[in-house]
Amino acid sequence: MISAPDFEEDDVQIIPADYSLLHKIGVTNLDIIFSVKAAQRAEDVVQAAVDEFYAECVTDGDALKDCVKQLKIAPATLQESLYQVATLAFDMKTKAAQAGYDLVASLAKSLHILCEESENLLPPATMIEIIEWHQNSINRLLTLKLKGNGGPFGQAILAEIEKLQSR
Amino acid sequence: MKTAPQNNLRILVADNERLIQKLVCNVLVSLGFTNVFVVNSGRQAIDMIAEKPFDLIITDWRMDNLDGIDVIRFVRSSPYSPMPHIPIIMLTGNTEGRYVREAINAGVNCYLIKPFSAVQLMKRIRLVIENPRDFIISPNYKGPDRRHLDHDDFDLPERRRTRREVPKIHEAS
Repeated sequence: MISAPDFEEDDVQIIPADYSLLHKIGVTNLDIIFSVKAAQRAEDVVQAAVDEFYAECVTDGDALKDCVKQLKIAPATLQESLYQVATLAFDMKTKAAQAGYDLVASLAKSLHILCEESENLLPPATMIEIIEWHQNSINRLLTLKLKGNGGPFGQAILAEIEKLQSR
Repeated sequence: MKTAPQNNLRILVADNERLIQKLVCNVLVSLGFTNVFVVNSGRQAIDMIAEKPFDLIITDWRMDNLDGIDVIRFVRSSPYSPMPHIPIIMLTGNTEGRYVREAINAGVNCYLIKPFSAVQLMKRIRLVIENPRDFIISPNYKGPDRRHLDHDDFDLPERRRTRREVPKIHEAS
């Protein structure tokens, strides 16, 4: 069996790891900066941001609703609107997940994938119908403040997804 | 709020989402990183990197006007990059494996998926400070050694024969 060549033989240059950041901070300070207390302080910061993320999700949900309204009035604008819907869905996915709304995040992810990857696979009317279904589900979950998997309501939504997929 | 001791690392945060910018900054400040600079786009990040020295970059993937991957490629491979070896942490909502692979092949040090916890971010920052990797320059790749996991049990003939010993300078203290 032939051995893999040495780095030097296959034109690979290796620069040894640079510890200058460690020197700059100092090993003792590193333990203080990343202590358990510091971690708790930082987690408190993340928790404090949750309300803001929720508020932004609601705003994005309203924008999504406006997009769907516009699409229903003028279905011919579907291609131009898909980018806007995809962007809203992508932003919402992150914010919803960060705020603890896992099912909203999943729906937003599904909507994002739908807009980015399925634009030519489905007839426009079906696309609009599916986008509207996502938007309705997302807004209902946010209005009812159903975190995590959305409880029984979330289960009903998942069942609807299965129905949609089977179609 | 009681804060950690200040330190002088200069950190660039690139994210087009205002709330995420604010969250990352607040977490960094709560850890005592007070030299935090924020930009909204890949273009702004590249301009800032060309202008000022930084110790660490935390970048989103999806941004308007050049994205996070463009930033990483500029830093690692552009002849105009003033600091090709700087640690880069990618903080993104892109969860699929193909994105992770693309980021690693572009030369990212760590990949952190949103939603993130403060502890996850802390661990990655500590990792790039405390356990930096060798930097590889090859015809097809420039960036931190992608084979950073120690698989001591892997001793087949295909294993590369030469590998530098990384000095563990911090063990004594």
